Amino acid sequence: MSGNPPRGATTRPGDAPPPEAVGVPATVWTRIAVRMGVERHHDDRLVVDTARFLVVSTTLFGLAALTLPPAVRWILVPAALVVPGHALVSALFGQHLEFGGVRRLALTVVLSFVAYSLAALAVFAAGFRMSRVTVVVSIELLAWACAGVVAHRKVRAQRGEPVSDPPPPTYRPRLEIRHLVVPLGAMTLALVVAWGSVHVLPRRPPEEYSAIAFDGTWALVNRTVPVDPGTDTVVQFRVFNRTRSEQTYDVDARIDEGPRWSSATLVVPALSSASGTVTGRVPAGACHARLEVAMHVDDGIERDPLVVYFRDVDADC
Amino acid sequence: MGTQETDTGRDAHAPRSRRHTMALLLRPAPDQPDPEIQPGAPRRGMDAGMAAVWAGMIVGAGLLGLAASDASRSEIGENSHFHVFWLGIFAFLVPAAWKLLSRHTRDLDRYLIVVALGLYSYLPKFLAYPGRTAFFDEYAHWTQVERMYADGLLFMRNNQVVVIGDYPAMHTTATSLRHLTGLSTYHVSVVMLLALHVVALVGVMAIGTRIGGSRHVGGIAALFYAVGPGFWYFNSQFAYESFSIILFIWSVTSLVHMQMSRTTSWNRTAWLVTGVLVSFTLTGAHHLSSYSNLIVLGAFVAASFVLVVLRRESPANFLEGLAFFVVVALLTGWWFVNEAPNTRAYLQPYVEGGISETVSFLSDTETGGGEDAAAQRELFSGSTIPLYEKVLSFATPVVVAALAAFAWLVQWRRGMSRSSALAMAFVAGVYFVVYPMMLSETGAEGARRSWSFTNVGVAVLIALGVQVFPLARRRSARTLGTLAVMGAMVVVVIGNIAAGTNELYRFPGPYVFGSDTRSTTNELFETAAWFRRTQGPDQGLISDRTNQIVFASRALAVLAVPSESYPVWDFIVKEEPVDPGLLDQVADEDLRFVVVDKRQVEFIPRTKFYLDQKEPLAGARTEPVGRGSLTKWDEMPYALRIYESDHLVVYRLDPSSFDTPYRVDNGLADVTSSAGVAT
Repeated sequence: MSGNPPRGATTRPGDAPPPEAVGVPATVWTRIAVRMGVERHHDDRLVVDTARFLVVSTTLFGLAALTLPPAVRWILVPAALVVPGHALVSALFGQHLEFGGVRRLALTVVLSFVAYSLAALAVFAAGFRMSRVTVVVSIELLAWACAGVVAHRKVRAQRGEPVSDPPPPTYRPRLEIRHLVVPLGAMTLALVVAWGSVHVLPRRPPEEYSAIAFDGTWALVNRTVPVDPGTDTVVQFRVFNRTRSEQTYDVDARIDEGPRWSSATLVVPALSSASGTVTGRVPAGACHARLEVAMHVDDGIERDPLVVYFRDVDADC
Repeated sequence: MGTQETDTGRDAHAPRSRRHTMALLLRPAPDQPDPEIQPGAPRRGMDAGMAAVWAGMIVGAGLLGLAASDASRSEIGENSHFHVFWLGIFAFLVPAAWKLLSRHTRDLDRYLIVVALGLYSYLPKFLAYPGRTAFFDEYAHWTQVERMYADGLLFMRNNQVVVIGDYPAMHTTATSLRHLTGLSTYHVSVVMLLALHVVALVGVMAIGTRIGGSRHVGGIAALFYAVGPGFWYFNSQFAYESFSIILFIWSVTSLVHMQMSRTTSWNRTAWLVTGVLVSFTLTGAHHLSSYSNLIVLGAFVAASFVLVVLRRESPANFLEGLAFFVVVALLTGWWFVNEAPNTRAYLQPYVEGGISETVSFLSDTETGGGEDAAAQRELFSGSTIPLYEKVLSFATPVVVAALAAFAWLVQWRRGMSRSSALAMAFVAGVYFVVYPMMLSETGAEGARRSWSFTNVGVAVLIALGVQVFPLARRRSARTLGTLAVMGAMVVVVIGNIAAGTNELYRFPGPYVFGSDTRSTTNELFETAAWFRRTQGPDQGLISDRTNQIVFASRALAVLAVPSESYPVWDFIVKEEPVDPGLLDQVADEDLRFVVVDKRQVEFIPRTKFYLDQKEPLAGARTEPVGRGSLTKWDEMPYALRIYESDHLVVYRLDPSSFDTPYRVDNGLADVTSSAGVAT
């Protein structure tokens, strides 16, 4: 699409607009189309005013990116890959890019990536952080600037001023949508087959294991904990059963030179976790009493106990 | 100056001598109109060749999925999945290559095949490790995007790959796409890689088409780039190299199109601006790619200078090419000096190591020290890949060299009248010059990475040469020549994939300690998830290489950067409690967690080091570290064991208990303070 009529159209730069473009049937949709810069030529070809099309399309794209919820915003992926690049290609080459179709689309995607990178650098240099708003605004500004270049070139062409050489007479393969049905269908099907194979064909099952960890505030302890030896201390833990069968975990606790602590037995369903506690007292006068919380399960694997240190809150350490 | 593309596979402006070189092979078919090859002429139905291409793509995708499934359930030493994998590759690649080599293929079909090839070449990596990052560098880039998305800041330091913070272009692109589309970082990476693979091949096709003057040449160039080094795996990872290679290709595309446009054309200016924009983005995307870009642009300038002196080319080509080169050189230099302070220190060991090891190897060989030299690097040592892959890996350089030599001869006979073709021949020469670096451990890494760039020259050069086979007048010569080229293509794709990517990266499978891809288990991922849930992000952490990358990405942990003066690997490999001085350093940097893999006393890491290449005995271990590396923690009362699974242990360090002389003197050791924990 470009600001000048496409090849095959009857108009030339400097000519008056074709009368067909003015006499548009006054339906709602055609009014909107004309506002967006799309008109129907006498040979049924759509004539698009590139500058207006850029402004309208990028504005719609930006509004959609800002308003759509994340769950459906993925539908903007194709637009996100081409909108900024299309603006740059239109501004740089207009109608004068010597190739079209796939190569033009590829250049458009590359320049979209370039636009995102450079726009982010500009946003950062201006002192802003990257966010959805700054990304959208920067891309909008870029596209509008490109639309300005396209419009300026069109105005000059309409005045009869030379804007550039005509495009080289390069052959471009004719593109008909019906020729793309089978290839695009096959490509899509191949991607679906590949993606589906991940979910359908068997894969090595995840490794089974069990684990124990301090839970609740105890998971955040990073120094010797002062406690009153006259009252019970309750230590919370969590066991993780990542096997594919129900497991019974015996958890006991042992403190250096102190009284015996309570133990706990947890029956944990497959692929789930459970929380438990062990209770006991810290020996009076202790400065660095080591509590070990050990998990035992009948799987033959040797595990080390969890460790935390206590001291008597009144001890002179 | 411009050349125009024709539909009959030849350049309308090509010198007449081109049609009369090398007798049989180079004699083209007569120019009688053939309705089957009219430009864009729609056929009534799809021909059998194209039907085979699309059927092969679907069947091949299924076979690749089957190979990945088979591999994931295989045991060490089993390699039936290799055969299924190659069946899947060739189910599509053979008919696609046949159609690209054929002169009768419609232009639209050539484009569609190239697009399909780009999509297809991403599938093996995607199927090997679906749904997650897998390669070492991917974790760092994934983390960088996650942090950029959360914080909105550029140039954030990344301690896993310290240099990537200086090159944010790919991360900003991915972050922008995340903001705009609402996809996760992983899904954005899949979209980007699919798009990048396609536009890479289309870019090479554009270069080949412009230089060769026909889409036939362009299609063959894209084919040979696709089967070149690194395209199927290395450039399929979510990393800045995959992003920058595309910018490199389109920078070259811009220069080629600029130089081959008419001198009065607006397009020359447009291509110049495009090239500068792409090259500047490349400068901010990846260090080596931007330097490779400069070298290649310089080759184009030098080639046009030569041809201007010989009065075969317009001075405008040289002057505008020089302007392009100078602007890009200034931008690259500015970025290197002002925005990328870590680059020099990051690259220096690789460059120096590669050169010194290669020189050492060559001098050892010359002086008869062959055994010492051979001991430095043994290709495929310990590999269990099939024998045919190993054989074809060694055959690949020979085949590529033969194809390139033939193509160079064809170009020479044609007179080398275009600077772009001459420059491509030079770039292709660099491809072979770095081959000796494969003999050194460090140099091999650099050589492999350079091939992604120089292979553009090789692919275009080969395409310019081998296009003569399908154009031969005699049917038998045409068929035999095409079959020979396809045979070479088969050798090259097998050899390049086998030599470029080890089996652990190519296929899922049983656990392998310290292998990046196969050592990241669900136990590790879930432990990292527990860590982030209970301890929060941005916690300083030390662990071995594999655990670090997962904790840094999934738990957003902050890693230490080890060095000889900061040997944090002592926490992992040392069999005695770590030194007080190191404890002070660790406390100052607020590193409070250590994750230990209990399997480290059973296995030597596949990477040959536990944490860093500079650690003691890295690359030289014959036995795993001793049990003391696990039991030493019982003698370290400042380490609280807060998580214990079958294979992983998480320790929390209590800096207040590091009663090192430094900390006691400075009042930092405070064993009497209260933690304020509820009892």
